[in-house]
Amino acid sequence: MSGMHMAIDTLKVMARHAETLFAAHMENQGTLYDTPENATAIKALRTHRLIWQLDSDADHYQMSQYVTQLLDHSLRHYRRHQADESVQSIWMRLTNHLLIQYQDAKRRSLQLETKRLSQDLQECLHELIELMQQATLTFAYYVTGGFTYITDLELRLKENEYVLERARKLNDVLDSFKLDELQQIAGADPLLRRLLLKYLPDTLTFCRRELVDSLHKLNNLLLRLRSNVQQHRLIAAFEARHERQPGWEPSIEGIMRLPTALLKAEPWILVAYPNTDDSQHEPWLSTLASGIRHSSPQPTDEHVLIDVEDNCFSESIQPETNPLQVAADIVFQEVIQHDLTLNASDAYQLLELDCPIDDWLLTLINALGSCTGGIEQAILAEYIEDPDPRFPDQFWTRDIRISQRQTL
Amino acid sequence: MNQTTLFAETVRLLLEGRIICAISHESSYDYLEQDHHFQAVDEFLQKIERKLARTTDHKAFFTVYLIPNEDSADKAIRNQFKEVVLHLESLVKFLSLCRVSQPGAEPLSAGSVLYESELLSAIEQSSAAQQLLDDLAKGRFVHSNATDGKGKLKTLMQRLIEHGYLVSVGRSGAHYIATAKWSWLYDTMSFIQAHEGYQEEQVQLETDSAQQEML
Repeated sequence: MSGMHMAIDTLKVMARHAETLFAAHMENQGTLYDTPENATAIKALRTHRLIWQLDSDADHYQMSQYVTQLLDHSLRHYRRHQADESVQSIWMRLTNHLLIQYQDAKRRSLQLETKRLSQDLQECLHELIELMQQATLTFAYYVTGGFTYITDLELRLKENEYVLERARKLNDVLDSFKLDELQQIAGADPLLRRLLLKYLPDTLTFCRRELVDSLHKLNNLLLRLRSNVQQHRLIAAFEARHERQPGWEPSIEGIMRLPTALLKAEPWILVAYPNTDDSQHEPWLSTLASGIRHSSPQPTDEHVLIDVEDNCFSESIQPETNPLQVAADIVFQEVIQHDLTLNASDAYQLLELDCPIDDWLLTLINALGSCTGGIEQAILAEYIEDPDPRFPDQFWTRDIRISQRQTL
Repeated sequence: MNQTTLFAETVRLLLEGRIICAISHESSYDYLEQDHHFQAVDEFLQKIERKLARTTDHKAFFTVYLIPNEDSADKAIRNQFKEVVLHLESLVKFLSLCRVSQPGAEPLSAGSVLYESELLSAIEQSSAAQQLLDDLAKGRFVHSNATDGKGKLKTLMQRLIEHGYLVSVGRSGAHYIATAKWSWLYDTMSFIQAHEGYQEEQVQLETDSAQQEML
């Protein structure tokens, strides 16, 4: 089998048993227990030397360090989320394990070991610095994003609270690094002084600054989200109330202490008048007054002139003839021509007019008033009236006597 | 604008009953944001039995009565409340419409940007939003005779501008920014809710005591 095929097969086996490997890495520190459900995975992983076992009687296998490293690499993002725990874990490895071994090797003048451990120490510190920086910047990412990837406001609020809590924990971890303690650990060793009194404090300063900024912004974001959730609930409550009780109208009757929002003053319209006795106002007033004399009234905004399209006379329309008017003209002509005396009521019956008699009497009076050509002077109209029974000074016109006015 | 002019302009706006915020009256809002200006305006208003107040979220300034229990002030306050109540259902419906149209968005507040096209597109895609717009158009706040969604929405936005809840920006006339009058409305709604809750609580207490008496 060629190298390429072997490598591909190894990757395939890892893919096939990915979940088992992941569970062992996350939950059991890389230990894979020899149980019936793990039997197939163990067989395949052993073939590719992805797990190992020293004691053949033991009930578990240990994952290869290469698999562990690969998983660690792929879990970098996840570990950033758990940074507060990871930082502490790396720091413990650095101080409780590597540092002690390094100092011991140095004290015993073990050149090779000292060199190896100094490299391990530098690598470990680099990992710590990188982790702290990434963890800090992760919070900045949350601030920029504003948790908009969560659509529900309540869940967004919870996520903000959770992230804020983690940021506080990381802040506590960063605060746990004390300069005097680091000085004590570093002692006079040049390498340790460079690592613990230069690189680490520089990173701590940067991370603290960024984290404090993120904490402040996350707190503000939390306040805004709480306010949003509150408003959201308020709107929902009113919606529900209107739905449950259509036409519902709240009332403040009987409430003595109202909130500021409801005490809003109504508009106070300010109107200013010029002082005609003040000489300072004179030039302005005289200009205004002269303008009034010469200028025609200007239309104001409230009375804007609108062109009206008048279609009433767009076509040649013949005025309608009023039959009562025609009848009145006939009556006047007959009275003049034949010197008749005629009662309006008689004419009404004679001409068989289709209207109330009051209308006819009114038409006669109006027609006489509008007559031209001397008719109005030739005709004499006398009102036949009855007094009102309740108000004797009031007369009701019952009829009109029409005759030709006698000339002297 | 110099400080004297700003003072005069700000006081004039306040006496006209305007709600001053960073969206509707930026320079006056910035002016009042400074403590000594706030105090100067407040002192002036107190001389004419008014007082300078701000919304709970500090996004808007407005004038309130110095002695609210005084007869004319009390009458004006109650009349004003009736006017709020008159449009309350429509305004709540509009807030719901915004929420339905933009799921996941924050509730409408000062500075929220609204595009007529986006709202219209969301309304066309949601029957719930469509129903809300129809209800709003028929209501006394909007009272639109338009038959299409666009016409109804246009009238609705126009009414909100007239009542100071939105300002139109840009030349298109279809891009709006919410003012802090919403903050004032939220304050009013919070009080109503608290008061209604109190009333319900009172009713509950009365019911409980009545039941105890019966027992």
